[in-house]
Amino acid sequence: MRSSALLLLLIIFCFACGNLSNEDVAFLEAIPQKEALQVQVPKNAASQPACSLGDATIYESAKSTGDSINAGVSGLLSLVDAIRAVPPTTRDTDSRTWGPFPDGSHAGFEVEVQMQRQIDETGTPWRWDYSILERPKGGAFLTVLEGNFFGPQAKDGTGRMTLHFENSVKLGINQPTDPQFPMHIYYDLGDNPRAISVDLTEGLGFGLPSFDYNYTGFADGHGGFSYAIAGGNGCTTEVTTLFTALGAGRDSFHVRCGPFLSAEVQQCWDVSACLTFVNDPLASTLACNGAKPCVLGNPAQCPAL
Amino acid sequence: MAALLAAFPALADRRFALVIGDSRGGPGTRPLHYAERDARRIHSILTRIGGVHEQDARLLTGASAGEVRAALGSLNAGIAAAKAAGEQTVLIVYYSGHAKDGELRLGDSILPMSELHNILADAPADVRIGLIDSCQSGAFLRAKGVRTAPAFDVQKALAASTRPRGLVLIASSSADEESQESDEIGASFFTHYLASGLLGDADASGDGKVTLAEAYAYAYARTVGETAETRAGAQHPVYLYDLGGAGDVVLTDLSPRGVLFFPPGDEGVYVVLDNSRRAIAEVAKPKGNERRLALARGDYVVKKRDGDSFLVGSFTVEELPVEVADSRLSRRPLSDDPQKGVSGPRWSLRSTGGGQFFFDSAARNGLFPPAALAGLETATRDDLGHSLAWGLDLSFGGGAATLNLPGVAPIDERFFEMSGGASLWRDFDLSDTWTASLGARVAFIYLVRSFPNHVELQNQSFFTFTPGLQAMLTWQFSNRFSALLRARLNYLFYNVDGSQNLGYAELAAGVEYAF
Repeated sequence: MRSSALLLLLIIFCFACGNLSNEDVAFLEAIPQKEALQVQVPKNAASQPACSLGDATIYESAKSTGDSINAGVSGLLSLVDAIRAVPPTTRDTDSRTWGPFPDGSHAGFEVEVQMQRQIDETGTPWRWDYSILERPKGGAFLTVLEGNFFGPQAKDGTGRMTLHFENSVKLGINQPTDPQFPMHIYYDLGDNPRAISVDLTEGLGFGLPSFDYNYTGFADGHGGFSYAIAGGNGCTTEVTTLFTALGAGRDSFHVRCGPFLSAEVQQCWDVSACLTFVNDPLASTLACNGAKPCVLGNPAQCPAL
Repeated sequence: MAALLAAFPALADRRFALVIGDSRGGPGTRPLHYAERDARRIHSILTRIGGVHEQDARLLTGASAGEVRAALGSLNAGIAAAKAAGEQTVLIVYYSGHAKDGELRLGDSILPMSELHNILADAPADVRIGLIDSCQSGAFLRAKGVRTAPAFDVQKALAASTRPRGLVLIASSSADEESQESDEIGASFFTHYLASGLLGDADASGDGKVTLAEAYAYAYARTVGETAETRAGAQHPVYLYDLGGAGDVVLTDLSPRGVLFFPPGDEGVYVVLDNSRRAIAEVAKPKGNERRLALARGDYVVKKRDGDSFLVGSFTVEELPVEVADSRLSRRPLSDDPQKGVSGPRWSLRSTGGGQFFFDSAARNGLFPPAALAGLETATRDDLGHSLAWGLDLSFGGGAATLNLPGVAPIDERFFEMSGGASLWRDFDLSDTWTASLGARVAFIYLVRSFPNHVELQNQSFFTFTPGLQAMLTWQFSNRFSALLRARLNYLFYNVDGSQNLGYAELAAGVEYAF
């Protein structure tokens, strides 16, 4: 009788369960969302009229390049989103661990996420370190993503992230076009524009040439993107483009073939991706049709960016 | 044959009875708990051992004043017919219910006591007996000759042919007294002792018959004695005796029935309980006297308080007398009182609305913000003992709040809460209409919060048990409806962001409906 009463008391006083946690919210708010780290280049009008000076083919590659980068990092960044659906496994004052829990994208694999924070004298978090580890069930963990974030919440802080593709290759969960080396992403989401840098300088990846890709996006939709396009002859076209929210813009690019650098070409286009101005000293683009020096259109028609 | 007639002189009369019980007293009164049961007891006694045939008895419960008048008219017609046939007649009218300002309150209708008095005075029966068990029922006897006394003076019969004629009115309390009910005995004091007396304990002469004088004397003494220590104070039955002729009226005849026989060797107060453990009679017996209780066939439990314990025994009444001697009773601790909870549970339903507030400011930040709650509850009173009640409750609520985290933009949240529990409390009557209650409650609480503007944040929930204390104030404003104000203090153990002991208050107002 006495032991039954004691058991009842224990149940009454100790039976508390759930994931109602302000601190969990704080940790989750420090993890960047996949969407916040995506390159967002405006798409041009769907139907194009006949362009008098020709199509802005260089700019059209900006969208596809951005999409390739987004798709390439999406797989590993999805692991970050996965922890939002499960409560932490362990909670300490300044750390959380999620998992191991099954990787929904890779059957037979498990994910564990570890996260620590540092707090300043006012009690405000200023640095967060996190790592995502993956293993075949029963095997050893390998780090597939690690990052640091500075600031209380991801949507307006700066951070860096390393995607360890070399480990995802070892685990066999990589995509065919993934790089074979660690890839770094730097981001600053606190200012306008937000800036994202994807460092692929160590080699090829996602079907893109080795390059330090940089994107800036303003809140109103305009921005800039520096990227590279592989040529069929082993040369690379390096582009710096600025665009409006509607897709008009200007760029400058040159072709790099090993140590050799071509003359710089300047182009402007409208929202229909029709060229409005071309300045190509060596007439290397199709619009110039071989006539040097080549200046077409009116530079006044270039958007102010 | 002459000897037989002499043995049952009064029961040879043709007897008519109107028995009325009404727990409702209209606006401004609380429902009585036992009025209708009291009426059924008296009706049963009169028809079983009181010489009233079933067809000459009317039992009205929850009836209107008009229905009472109609029943009296019907009985008077029967009485007139019996008299025309040469029969001696007796009319007994019993009422248990509310009375106020000189009026019997029958639900929302009113029957002035003076009207009932006049009806009885003018009734064609040779003997008219009015028994009124209600508050201030002494007003029923507003006439010369009303007396508060242990017994009335009965003229001894001079000859068998001089039968009594006239009017006797008995009221359970004087014109300025309350008539009290007792949860312990499950009846009004007066009717309980009147019934006990009619069943046999009032048979002071030991002749196997209980007369009107014996019944009154017994009911008077026991009612005054048992109410002397109550909060309302002693209750004094009164009477108006205006019988011509000679002799007394025999109300019940014990002799031809199965009886419980209490032998002269024992003494004390014995309580007789029926199958449902309700008290149906008491026997207060000095040593040297014997007592007989005329009971219907059936099983009974007899208990007697003896120091710090009870003597309890079970008996079956059939044709032959069954002796109840102390030696046949077994001793039990007071905690095994077979009468516990016999007054029966009283059920009610509550609807409440209110709010919840955590004392800790950090806990109010997003985790447990102030919430509005609406709920439904049941309450069961007098089920576990006198003035003890228990209840079950279920509440739903929620609201909107803002979660503030250091350095993070405020996060809007919506939350839903469900709470339910079981309560145990004690009622304290402050007046006829106000009741205070104190008790404890064990409940569960389940909270869910969502973040409508943050798709990256999943819903969160929490479940736990929360013990607490509660205090309540109830104001009964109609027969069945009461308004209530309640405060609860609860403890909550929170263990997600570290272990915390939290306290919170719940304030609620509501309406209670009593079944």
